[in-house]
Amino acid sequence: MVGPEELNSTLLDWNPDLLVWHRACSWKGLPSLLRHRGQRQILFEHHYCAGFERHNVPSTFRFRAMLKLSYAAMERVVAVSRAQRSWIEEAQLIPPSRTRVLLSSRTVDDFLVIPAPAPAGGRPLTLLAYGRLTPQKGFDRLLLALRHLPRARLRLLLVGSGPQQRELEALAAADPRVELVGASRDIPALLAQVDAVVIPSRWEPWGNVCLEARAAGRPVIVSEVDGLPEQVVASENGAAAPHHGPCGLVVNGDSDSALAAALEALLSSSDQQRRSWSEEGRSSARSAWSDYVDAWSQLLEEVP
Amino acid sequence: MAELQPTETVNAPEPLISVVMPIYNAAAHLSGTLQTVLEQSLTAWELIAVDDGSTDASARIVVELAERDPRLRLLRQPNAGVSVARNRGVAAGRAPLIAFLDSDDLWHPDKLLCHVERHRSDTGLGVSFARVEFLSPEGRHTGTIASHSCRALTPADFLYENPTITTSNWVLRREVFEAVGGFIPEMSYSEDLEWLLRVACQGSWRIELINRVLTYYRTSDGGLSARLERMESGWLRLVEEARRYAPSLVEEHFARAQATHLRYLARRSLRLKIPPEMGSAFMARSLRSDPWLLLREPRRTGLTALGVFGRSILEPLRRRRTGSHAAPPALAAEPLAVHTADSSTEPLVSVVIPLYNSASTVAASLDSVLAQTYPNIEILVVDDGSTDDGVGLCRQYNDARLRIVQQKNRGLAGARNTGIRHATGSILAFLDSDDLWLPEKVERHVQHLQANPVVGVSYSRSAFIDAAGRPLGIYQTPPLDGITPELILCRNPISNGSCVVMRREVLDGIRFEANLYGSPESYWFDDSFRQSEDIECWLRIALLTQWRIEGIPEALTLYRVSSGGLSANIEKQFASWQRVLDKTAHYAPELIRRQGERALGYQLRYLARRSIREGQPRLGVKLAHQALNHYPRLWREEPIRTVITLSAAHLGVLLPQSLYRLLEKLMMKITGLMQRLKMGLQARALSPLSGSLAESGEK
Repeated sequence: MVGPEELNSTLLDWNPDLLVWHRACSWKGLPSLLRHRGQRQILFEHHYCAGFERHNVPSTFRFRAMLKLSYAAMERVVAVSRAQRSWIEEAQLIPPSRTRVLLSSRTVDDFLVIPAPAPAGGRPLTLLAYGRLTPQKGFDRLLLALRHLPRARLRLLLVGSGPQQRELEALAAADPRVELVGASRDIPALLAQVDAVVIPSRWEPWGNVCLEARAAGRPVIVSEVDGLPEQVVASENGAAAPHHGPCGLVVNGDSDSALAAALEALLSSSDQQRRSWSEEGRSSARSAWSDYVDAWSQLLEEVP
Repeated sequence: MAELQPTETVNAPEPLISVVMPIYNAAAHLSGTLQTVLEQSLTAWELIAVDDGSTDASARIVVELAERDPRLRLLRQPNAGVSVARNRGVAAGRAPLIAFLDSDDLWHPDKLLCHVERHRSDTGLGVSFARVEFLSPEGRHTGTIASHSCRALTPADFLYENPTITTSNWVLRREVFEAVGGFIPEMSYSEDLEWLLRVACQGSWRIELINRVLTYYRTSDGGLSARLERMESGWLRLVEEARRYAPSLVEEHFARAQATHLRYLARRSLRLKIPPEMGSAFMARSLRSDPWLLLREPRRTGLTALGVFGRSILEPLRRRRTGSHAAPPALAAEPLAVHTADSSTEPLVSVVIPLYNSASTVAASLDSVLAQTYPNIEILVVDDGSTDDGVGLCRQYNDARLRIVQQKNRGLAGARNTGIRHATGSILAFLDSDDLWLPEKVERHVQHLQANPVVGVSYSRSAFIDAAGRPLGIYQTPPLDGITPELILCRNPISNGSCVVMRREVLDGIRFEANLYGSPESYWFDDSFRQSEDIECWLRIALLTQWRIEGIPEALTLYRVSSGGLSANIEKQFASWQRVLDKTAHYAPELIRRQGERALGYQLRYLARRSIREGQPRLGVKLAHQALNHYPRLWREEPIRTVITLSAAHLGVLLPQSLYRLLEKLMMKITGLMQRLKMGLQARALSPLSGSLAESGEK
């Protein structure tokens, strides 16, 4: 890790051919981006997306102006999901010829070896939700949705730590089906224990959790935001967006009751259906990492 | 009993601080707020809740907690305003320090501890306040923290924007309250500023900031324009009061302070869904009151002006641009959020009535909607290019809830879609312009949806009426739960287009974009179907979303049977039904492979019955035989219905007309009797569970 001054002096010494940014753009950071204008720069947009804008931005006009100025300094802007790219295009933040999609990824070998979930055979399903406990991740909505299903038989493991912890503890206090577990590093071990994964995020430019769950062969329930649906359903343009995808379910709407309806659909699905979600999920994630590496080298070739 | 002073208590030491909480219809957030008091790290507090004549469950929530925790007390009074409530709460307390808490704000667990220690170490401190973080209307943390200047506060500061943000943020000494007096009873806006100004002018105590976020203030996006006007008059009252005890201060600061306050109101108007003109009027008055404001606080003033004036310029443009198209996602999302916020009370129901050449019946239909017992509805009549004067009839209704949209003919699906495009409710209901509703129709469905959050589509049973509106005594009595795509395909339980009420979110789940009339638009029903458009839509809901489809047992829709209507053309109807199968096979091939033949059998038998009813028994015989050829298991699955259909068809051919009509009438009587019996039994079986239909899987 280097501080901004150190970074600037390093850049002067090295005079690199290409700068790849992974940071969040802001008005504050704008001068430093513009400073490197002469150099080739690529920005990976890991932070902003339609959902972010909707939930956090008081003035869309101001926000988009900031992004346009930041992106203008870039040779390429890389979107981490197709949905994020469409948002960038719709908002006309940068000419389409300068955007690329590199579906975000990580190595998933540890996940691919996890045994598939056992058939339920009448036992209650165990669901997993994990991530930092912040409003972005929407775990509060998940707990509220469970209140709508007082008689549903299930177990929910909620794993993580963060500023929302107290609030979530209070929400889950009366529900014996919910177990709050502090942050864990061994995600594969967690996934091995559960039947399905719920990702109720309010925004999520891509959502690596979903990739991990698919690689582990766990059916997913994801909210209908940004990069999540495209990981679950094969999106065909023009057709109505189906909410039953090959790898799981996409919540139809952003209310607690919509999430409850999806949970109920998962709980009442057949073993066979869940097995098919599991298998499809795994096969969709198998080549994620190598695709990512390929896309990277293609990107590097493009920018001479 | 709560007023009793325990003579000997182990766990209730003398309180260090009295928390005074005025409550008015605050059930939605009250528990959360009380929880943050119960979780305080300092435990030596007493809480005095003053219920200011709430009509909701607020009081009960406090009473339930007070039974378990003797530190809580509830006082009740007929509605008298927030100032009276606070004064009364203070008078009832006994601790040397006082904190206020509004019933929707939240506290940091260390809030009381921090303030009490500060007061303990600093006896000249009269009022302490902390930094405030804003919460969204739903109570989520926004990360926005109110800014404070670090210099000491002077009396003049209290003429401007409230430096403490909210009363929930104060902790004060009881002696201050006793010395300067309470809040002015009739003020409910700016009453807090006025009180602080009095303290500041008195000069014996300091008002100081604790530089740490200890209070969370919930912003609200509801609220009406009238509220802004009341806020302004509240502030003017503050000035009037201040003139009495600090005339020179007011003299010196009035213009600037008024400009600042008007700017504040202008900024606030941006958050509310009110006409943009109102905001720009506030801003213009602000700049007129003190043009130098722009130079003194260029950023704040400039941005507010830009926002307010920008909005009033852009809003009409945006409205025009989005008038005929689908709203862009950001816009579409906003009204939803507002509706979910008040869905606990009475969500707005949009009633969509497609109108096509039905001048003779539309008035009765409209009357039946206007007579609904459910209060919060809007009505959208979509005239689909009628050539008669149905629209003229509708225009005669002088009801603010009614809106009329006209378009070139697009068919029933197209008219419903236009209605959906214009609807603003979080729940939508459909009524064809020849059918009628019973008065409690909407109310019952809203109850059904609210009691069962996972139900997205709620339908009722229907009673048949004849062309003159007389009941025929027979009903559509489809199954009510366990609705699967298979069932919709074969036995469509949502029997007609006037019996269904659904959540907006359900429709959002099946929306698709297409360009059918020259510009891209959103569609929900498929305009390319002139018949069977509803079953096609229900199928997509069942297959593409997770919402549960469920019926309620009462026959709340009156469905008009007419011969010679759209449905009269049996062959066309069959062709479009087959197109539904083809379309469905594209996205759900498995379902059609498994159920296609069976669905075909049922559909043919249905058409057979229709043709018999419409006086074409020969066609009926043909269709009934086709049905059995395609799907012989009809015999086994529904023997009685199949036999009746087949024999009716044959008798229709064999018997003379008059005799057949007689027989038909008799059969209808019997059927009606049986149906009423069935519905009566089901209604009775369900009534003790009313409101929890969903959870009782079996009947």
